[in-house]
This record gives sequence, C-alpha cells and structure tokens, in this order.
Amino acid sequence: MPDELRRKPGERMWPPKASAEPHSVRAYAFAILSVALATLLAFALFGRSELADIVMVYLLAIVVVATRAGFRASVVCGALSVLAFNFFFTQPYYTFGVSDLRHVVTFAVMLLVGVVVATLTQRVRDQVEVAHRSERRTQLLYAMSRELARTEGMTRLVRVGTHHLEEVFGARVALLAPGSADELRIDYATEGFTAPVESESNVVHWVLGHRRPAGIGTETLASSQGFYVPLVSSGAEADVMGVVGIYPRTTSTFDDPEQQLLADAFATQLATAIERARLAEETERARIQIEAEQLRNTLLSSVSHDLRTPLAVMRGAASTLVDDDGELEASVRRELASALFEETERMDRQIKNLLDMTRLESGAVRIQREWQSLQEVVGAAWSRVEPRLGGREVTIRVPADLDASFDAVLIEQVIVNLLENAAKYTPEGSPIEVTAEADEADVTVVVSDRGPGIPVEEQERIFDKFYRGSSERTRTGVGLGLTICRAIVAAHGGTIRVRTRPDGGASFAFTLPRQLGPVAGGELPEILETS
Amino acid sequence: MTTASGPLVLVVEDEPQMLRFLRASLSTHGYRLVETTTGAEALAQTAARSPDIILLDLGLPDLDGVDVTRRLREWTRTPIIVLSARGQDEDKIDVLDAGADDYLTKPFSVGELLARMRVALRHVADKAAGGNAPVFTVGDLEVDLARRQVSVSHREVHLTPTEYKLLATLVKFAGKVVTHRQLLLEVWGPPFVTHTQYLRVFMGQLRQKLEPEPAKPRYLINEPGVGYRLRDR
Repeated sequence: MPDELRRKPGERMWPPKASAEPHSVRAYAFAILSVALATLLAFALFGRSELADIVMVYLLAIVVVATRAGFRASVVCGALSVLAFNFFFTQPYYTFGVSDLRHVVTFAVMLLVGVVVATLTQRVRDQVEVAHRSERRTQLLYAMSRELARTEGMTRLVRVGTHHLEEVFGARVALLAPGSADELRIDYATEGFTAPVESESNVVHWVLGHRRPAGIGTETLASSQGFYVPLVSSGAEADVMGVVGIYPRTTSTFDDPEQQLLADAFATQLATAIERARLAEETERARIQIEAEQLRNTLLSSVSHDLRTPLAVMRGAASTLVDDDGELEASVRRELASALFEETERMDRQIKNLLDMTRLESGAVRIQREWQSLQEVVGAAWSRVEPRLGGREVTIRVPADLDASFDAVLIEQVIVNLLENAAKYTPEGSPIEVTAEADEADVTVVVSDRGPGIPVEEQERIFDKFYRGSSERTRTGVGLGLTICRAIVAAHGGTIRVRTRPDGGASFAFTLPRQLGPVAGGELPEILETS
Repeated sequence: MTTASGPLVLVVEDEPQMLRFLRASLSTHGYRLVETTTGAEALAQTAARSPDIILLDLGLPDLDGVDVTRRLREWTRTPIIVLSARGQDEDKIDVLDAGADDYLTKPFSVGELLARMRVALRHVADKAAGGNAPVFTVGDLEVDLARRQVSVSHREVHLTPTEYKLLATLVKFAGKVVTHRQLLLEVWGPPFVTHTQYLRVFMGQLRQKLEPEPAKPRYLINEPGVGYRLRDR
C-alpha cells in the first residue's frame, strides 16, 4: 500500500472521522463561550451605540459558531444569544421579561438568522464532505487498481484485492465461489478467519443469483454476518466469478450506502483484473500449445535426421566388417572402424544434449550452487574439449581470484558447449578465446572465435530449440547446445547473448549474478605438520 | 590370446550387450573374466574367486551399486571401477566415497577402461611393495616424497605444509579421481569434510604454483561436482 494510505491496524479508514458534526461537549462549550464573549463586547458598546449594533455582535457570534462548531451548536448559540440579549440589554434589564413588543420581533429575527446561517454553513460543509469522500474513494480505488495492474497471476491478484478490502474496511474478507453441487468453495479467507460458509450459504447464493450486493446494511438478508458483493466484471453478460464476503468489526459499517458503493466498486475492479489475468493465461496457454506443436514437428524431423544419419553410417560400416572374410585390406578395415567410432561419438553427444534438455525442461535438474573458482571450471571445460579442438590455439584469460556462486557441473557444460560450437562452426585452425571478468553485480564469461560471425537477425533465434543458422543447414547436430546453455544460465539468474565482433568472428557472453558472498562455514585450518 | 596368468576381472553387469563387449575387449588384452549379473552374486564371487579387480555397473537389478561397494569394502581392498550411465552423478560421488577406486561414464572406449584398470592395479602393486615410489613424476612435475621436495622443470617450488599435504594426498591416489570429501578427510580430518569451497582455494594456490598455465591445467584435473585427479602420465 502506498504511504499515504497506511495507518494503524484496526483503525477504520473509511469514512474519515466525522469532523463535520462534532457532538462533543467542546462544540457546545464553544457556543456558550462565544455568547459570553459577545455579551462582554455588547456591554462595552452598550449605551454608546444603538441596540441594533448589539444584535449584530450576537449575529457575528452565531456565524462564527456555525462555521466552527456545526449546526446544533449554532442553533444552541442562537437561542442563548436571544436569551442573553433579552436578559442584559432589553428593558426591564436583568429579567427575561419583555416590555417592548418590538423586541420580540428582534428575538425572532435573531433566532431565524441563527438557524438560516447554520443551515447554509452545514450545507456547504456537507458538500465539502461529499467531495472529500468521493475523492478518498477515488484515491482508494486508484491505489488498488494501480497495484492490481502491477500484479500478475491469479493467486497474487486475489491476494492484492482482498488485502485492500481488509485494510480499507478494517474487516475480515472471504472469497467464495460456487463449488461442486451446492457446496461453496472458499478461494480465500483472511488469515486465521473461518468464513461462515454453511450458515451464510443462503445469502451467498442469493448474491450469485441476483448479481446484487446483500447482507448486513442492505434490505436483503440484513441479519447476515457479512456484507456480500458479487465478483463480476463490468460487462453486462459477464459471469459471476464468485462472491466477496466482507465481515466488518462493527456491524454498522455497512449502514452507510457510501460504504456499500465502495465495496461494490472494489469488487468490480478485482473482478476485471481477474478476468484480464484469465484471458492472458488462456492466450499464453494457446501460444504454448502452438509452440509445443511446432516443436514436436521440428523434434521429430530433427531427431529422425540427426540420429539416423550416424546410425546409417555405423550400420553400413559394421555390416561390412561383419561380412568380411579376410578380403578387406587392413587400411579399409581401419577406415571403417574409425568411421564407426566417430559416428558413435557424434551420436553420443546428440543423445546427451537431448537428454540434458529434457531433464532441464522437466525441472529434474537441481541447481547446486557452491562458491566456485571460475578459472578452475573454465580449465575443466577446456580439458574436456581439448582433444576435439584439433590443435586450435585457445587463449584463456581468467583471473585466478575470480569466483562466483554457481553449479560447477552445469556451468562447465555451458562452457564446453560454447567451445564445441566455436570449434564446429569456424574454420579449422582459427583461434578461440575465453575471458572472464567481474563487476559488482555479475561475472561475465566470454567465448569468442574468428569464424564468420552470426547475422544480427539470427542472434536471438540461435538460442531457440532446434534452430540452426542459415549457414549450417547441411551440418549435423540437433541444434540444442545453445538452448541448453541458455536454460542453464537462466536457471542461475544470468543472461546469454551473442554479438559479432567488430574485427570479425562471434562472441558469446553469459553472465552469472554474484549476489552471494562466500558460503559461511569457517576456514580450513593450515596444516602445521605434515605427517 | 587369452593367457591363463592375466589378472582376474570380476565383471558385474546385467546388460548382455555390454557384457559381450567387455568380454571381447578384455580377454583380447590378456585379462581373465568372471561374469556376474547381480549384486548378490558379485559379493559371493568376490569371496569365492578373489578377483584382482572388479568392474561394477551402477544400475544393477537387485542391489544398489553403492551398497555393493560398501559391503565389499567391509572386508576387501580389491580395486573397484564403477561403470555408470549418464544422470547418475550423485550416485557416482556416493560410490566413490563408499570406497570405489574410479568411475567411467558410459559410453567409454576400451582405451579409457584399460588405462583406469592399469592405474588401479598398479596402486595395489605399489601398496604391496610398501607404499608409493619415493619420487613421483608426471611431465615436468616432480614430487620427492622422501625429501618433501616439489619441483617443476627442475626448479624447486616452495609449498606451504597444507599445500604439500594436499599434493602428497593426490600423489598417493595419482591417476584416480579423489572426491572432495576424501581429500578433506585425508588432509584436514573428519570435522572439515564439508568445507569444499576452501578446498578450492587451496587447489587454486597449488595450481598457480605448479601449472605453467593455471587456466589450462595439465596435472591437477578438476572433475566438476566430483573431485580432483592428479594426472599420472
């Protein structure tokens, strides 16, 4: 909640404290005091000016009281003024008797003026009050809608909406929806509050059926424990999603129609937000379904091609070797055997990628963060890939003291994939560079090559599943290596992207947030004696 | 080609094709084979035939490979090399901690398997001959265990006692993977077995002192998630 709307728990926010009509002793005391002061002033004037001036003094007191202390106090003030005027300043003095009938008219006029002034002032005050309330209501609604707009996901929306209702009405809140059969389902209830579903099911069903508020403060089932508003968005034919039950601490809260209006407005807003979220979810589901469909197709064609090609080679080579009855030359036999061997390696990598991707996607992989040395992990990746790099020059520039918290096995996999990619798509013998550096927020690891680079329009898509760059249609591989990299880096809260280097080649950079300091647990002691 | 005198290998593997491949490759290289397909049988055969080395598949139908290892280690030091499939990373560490000597991830080549077997068998032989050779060499790295001297390219390197003990431990298991836990236990003792991140600090220091190019390690090989291996050739 924004600051301006924050207040002590339990304190009611709406309506604002009635400063408009203070019934307090203080208001009446103010009226009496004003009359007393007017009387003193009148004494000062008495004898020096006309009686009409003294009447004016009292009228002034009435106006002052009307603007300061409200209607009742100003009527009291009027009456007291008449009495005081009569007592002190009309003959016979110091009695309430009246000798001159004209004074009776003066009294009547004084009293009348008092009432009229009080009425007018009160009306202005009421208008201000209405404006003030409406402004507060707009403010509260705005506060909620602003927060709802920032919120995503059904559960969170409901939480935000009900939270506002709880705060604004100082009440407990429940969200009820029609469940199976005639039962009501409780979608939400204020913590520690058991919504009276069974005893109140009548009124809830009435609200569901009539799409109108009911319960305490209304004409329908006023003896209920709560005030119930339908959760329905502002379309005429929109479905009623449920009922919001508001259970205020003081039952009189909803005697004020203003409160009922406000609750209704809140419910409408919440319903609209929920509907919006529902629509968004549906669209998202549809999109995912379409994507899954496309993916399945790509996967099928990809797998059938990329796994069957090496399989065909293996089968051919193996069958020739099986059928050999000593006629094959040693060099041919060797050639067939090494083809077999190479194809199994390739197939192994592809299957590994497919499995890794499946495991990453199904959430079967748990990130095991530990404080790691970047140099160590880059070194491990290099050792693993080195035999397949064909003697390329690899420059590694990783500071020895650079560390971060991540899953070493997975990040090694990322670096291995990037190195293999570089080796696969760049001319033989071209150099590869691995660098790492850190700022306060992230560690950035960059693998750069001197190959053809990646066209700008493909720089995003190459991380997509089964995507293969325009230049690599003829190459083998299921196109999962970079997708796996992205999944792993994203799971660490980092990002990965590729840029074309100004002087030629591609450079893949991924970041790992440094957020955590070294894991606590004490230092290892130095060993003093070796035994 | 099979010679009656070659080392006896107990192969515990339930995949017939894998068994067929191991039988063909190992007997060609002079090993004698005992084949079993279950963990229970493996325990019995180890007792009955006292093999020189055991190849243990992690995915057995009856017993967990980790349990088999633990039960074998209750009474025998026969080297165990574990053959694991992908996606069994955690089992791999468990089985090493339980006392297995090394592991290979399927698919592997015969060359790799034979190399690991040679290392394991040599360790047994060394132990029988009364511990490691006094001087360990690999590439330009030389560790003189008797005089506690370490040199790279004949230039002496000064190590702190901790670094030396860490290196000596790796030398003791040279060629084999040593898990983080095993290293911490050997060098610092039981209270420190979880301080993996500090082990990395010391390994980093060793690498800076011993490796000509620390970012491209030649001797001290990191096996992410598992441990370290000191290359022995």
